[in-house]
Order: sequence, then structure tokens, then C-alpha cells
Amino acid sequence: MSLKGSLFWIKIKGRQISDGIAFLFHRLTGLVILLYLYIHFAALSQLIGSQSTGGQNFQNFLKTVESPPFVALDILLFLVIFYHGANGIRLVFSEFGIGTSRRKLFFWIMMILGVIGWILLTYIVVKAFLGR
Amino acid sequence: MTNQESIKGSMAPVAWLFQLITAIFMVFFLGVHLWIMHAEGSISLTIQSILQRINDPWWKTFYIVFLVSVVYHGLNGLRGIVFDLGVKKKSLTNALFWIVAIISIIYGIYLLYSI
Amino acid sequence: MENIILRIKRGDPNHWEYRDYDVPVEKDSTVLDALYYVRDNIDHSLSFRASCRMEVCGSCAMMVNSFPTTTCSTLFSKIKPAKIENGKKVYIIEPLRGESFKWIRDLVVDFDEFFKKHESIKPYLIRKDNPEGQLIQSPKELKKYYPLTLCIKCGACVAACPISNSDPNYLGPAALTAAYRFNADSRDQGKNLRLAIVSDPEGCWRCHFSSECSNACPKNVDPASAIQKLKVQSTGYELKRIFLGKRGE
Ligand code: SF4
Ligand code: SF4
Repeated sequence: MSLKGSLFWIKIKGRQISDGIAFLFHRLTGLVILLYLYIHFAALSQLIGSQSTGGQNFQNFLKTVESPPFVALDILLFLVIFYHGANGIRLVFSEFGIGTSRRKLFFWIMMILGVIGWILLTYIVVKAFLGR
Repeated sequence: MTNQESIKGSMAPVAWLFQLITAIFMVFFLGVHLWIMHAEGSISLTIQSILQRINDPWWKTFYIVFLVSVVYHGLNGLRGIVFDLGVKKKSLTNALFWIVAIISIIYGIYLLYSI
Repeated sequence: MENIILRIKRGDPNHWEYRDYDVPVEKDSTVLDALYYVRDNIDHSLSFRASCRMEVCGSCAMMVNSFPTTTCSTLFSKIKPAKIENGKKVYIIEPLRGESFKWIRDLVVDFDEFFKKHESIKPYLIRKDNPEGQLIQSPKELKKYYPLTLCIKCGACVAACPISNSDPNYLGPAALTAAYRFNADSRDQGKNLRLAIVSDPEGCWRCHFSSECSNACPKNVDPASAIQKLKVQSTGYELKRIFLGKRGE
């Protein structure tokens, strides 16, 4: 294990988008989501006791997370999740040996589906945001 | 021909299988979660609706399974990244993985019951 | 005929640099042709491994513009130059990279680890009996593993694999593909023996299907697909071991 070696997977030169670069992004998005999970825990801890206080802290919480910068970050996070999910579905099939010989086609189909899902969710969220 | 020297067991395939199973679960769980919290929820999210949902035993089970899946999937992925770096201390890594996973799950369940 | 620049990594791990060589190439020149030109006409001290010049021996794999490939089958006309300097195309040639290959000098790396890993997965037919005469195989059975036999052990896949590059203990695409090649052979009876070896955490479980190995392979062996099939096989093997107590034999 050397430092140079352990950073190798970040390299993009000579790699294919549908293979090595997809793998790199799968990892990075996975790490982002894991980090977000703990941020999510921390955020939820603000809500402890809502049952007894009748939701005052929840109103404050909503005020923060429904402000424009948070909604924008949310939408970015959706992109990360949809990428990880769409590429992940491809990987589940591939690791079971299904579709491994048509890697490029499979990858791009999943990417298109992922982007469609992301645009739909973003549309709904933005519409609700503007309607408030 | 029998050759005993190389015969040993490994739990790695089970860890891998779980990674894939939790992945499939999560496509569903996260889909539902994103839908109720952000799509439907952006319009009608109130503390009453949330409290009502997490006090429902079915939803509670849903959230606990979701929590276990997400913690396992995320931390097992991280464990894979650590192994990929070529670390030699495999048992230590595994032990750390289980400790963090169990603490995270307990904390998540605590949140679920105390909100 | 045109002149190009070959930028070759020269030296050894203690002292090295990139040196430029001005080489004339034809429309059908390969990278290996250019290396021979440098050695014969410009610098006799250039070290590299090559033998058959026809993609059979697997000696001449190197990094060409950061991409591992067999230089004997890489035509200049088929690859993009790394950059263009003073109107000349520049191609960067480096030894195979990664933790799995020890760099010795110039373009030569040590393949010891590579072949040790290859040997460790028992790349030969294993029989429980002592068959007399020929072992019969149908064309259909042959087809199941035939493409995998084309592997020339060039190591390009290992140099391409992001995991092999950070984890020197990972068995790597070439060895795992060889394991699957024999497991898929109807004449073989040593499947469980090999599965016991490859289901180790440093076996097929380090592979995450980034499939760079399949991109790099000059023989279209498609190691990535073979490894995923190996994963399914080893899962079956280990589940049987855990629930039924069956062990490799
Ligand atoms: S699988 Fe392909 S790239 Fe890998 S050693 Fe064999 S021929 Fe070379
Ligand atoms: S598919 Fe597996 S063996 Fe091939 S490059 Fe990717 S991680 Fe390495």
C-alpha cells in the first residue's frame, strides 16, 4: 500500500466513461451519500421531543430546510442519489453476470432513466417550492 | 484428488450478497422515502403527519429495515474501499465496521422512538 | 512517412526521467516498431520486453498514453497522440503501472507476482479419476470457455484495473479469468478447489465491475464478465459450505 497506489482509482486518463469513470463516480457518490446519512442523523436529532412540544422545533426545522439554498442542495443530492441508484441497478445485474457484454449500452440506458427520474423529482419539488 | 491445504471458508460472498440485496431494497425504500418527504411531502408535510406515520407499526418496521439497509450498504461500501487500498489489518477493519454499524443502527432507532 | 516524438520513461525507481526521441513512422507502424527503431538507431541502452511481434507472446504490454496495451498490435494511425508539440505528435510510453508490477528499468516490469497469482488458482485440468484415452468434449462445451483461452498473460488488464493498482494482494483480472476458464471447462473436476481460493476477500470480491480490464484486453477476453460469473459460482459454493457443511474437494 503506497499513497500513490491508493489514489490510483481517482485517475481518469485512459479510462472509459461507462467503465472506470462510472466506477469512480459510483464511489464518490456513495461516499457523499454516506456522509449525508450522518448529517441526516444530526439534523433529525433536532426533532427529538417533537411529540411533547407539539412541533415547535419542527416548524423551525422546516423553515431552515425549506429555504432556497437548502432546496438547491437537496436537488443536487437527488442527482447524486439518482446516479448512484441508476448505476447501482446496472451493477446489481452485471455482478450477477447479466448484461456484462453490452456494458456501454446498459450504462447509457440507465443514465437516461436516472436523469429522467431526477428531472421529474426536481420538477415536483421546484413546483411545490414556488407554489408556497 | 483431495487437497486440504487451501480449503478454508470465507464470509465475503455473504457480505456481497447482502450488499446487492440491500441495494435492491433501497431502490424501493428510498423511492418511497423521497416520494413522501419531497414530492407529496413538499405540499403537505406537517409534524402531525410525520408523527402519525412513525407511530404506525408498519411504517416503523419500514423505517427500521430501511435504516439497517442503508447503514449496512453504506458502511460495507466504505469497508470495500478500505480493503481496496490494500490494508492488511482485515479483522480490525471488520471489527470497526461492525461497531460503527451497530452504533448507527441503535442511534437511528433511538431517533425513531424519541421524535 | 512522418516524424513523431516518443516520450519514454527512462531509468529505474531511484532515478528516472522522460526522454524524447524523434522517430519516423509509416502509416502502418506499430508502437513496438518505433521502440525497435529507437533502440537500433538512437539509444542502444533502451530496455523493453518483446518477442513475437504478433500478439501471441504477451511480453510487450506497456502504458501507451496512460492506457495499457500490447505495443505490437497498437498502430500509431489508430491512436490519438497524447499532445502535439511544435507540430509533432507526442506519444508517451511508460512501463505497466500499479502495485502489482515492480518496475525494474525503462519499460521493463517484474511479472513474478503476476505469475505467482496465476499459479495460485491452479490453472490446469484437475481430475479426480485417472481417465484413459481422450476426454470427449462437444463444440458447445468448448464454446463456453474458448474465448478465455485466448489470454496471452500480457498483464494489460491488471495494469488497467483500479483495484489491482491500489491493492497488491488482489488476485487480479488475469488470474481470476484463468480460474473461471478452468471452472467452465467440462473436462475439469477441480471447480471447488479453485472456488475455495477465489472466494477469499482478496479474490473475486475485490472486483467491483469497473470493467477497465475488458477495455484494455488486446485479445477481447473480457475478464470483467468472467469474474462476475465467478462471483456467482463462489457465492453458491460458500452458501453450500455454510448451510450444508460441504467443503471444497
Ligand atoms: S486477460 Fe487479456 S489483458 Fe489480461 S493478461 Fe490476458 S490477454 Fe492480457
Ligand atoms: S472489472 Fe474487476 S478486475 Fe476488471 S478492472 Fe474492474 S475491478 Fe478490476
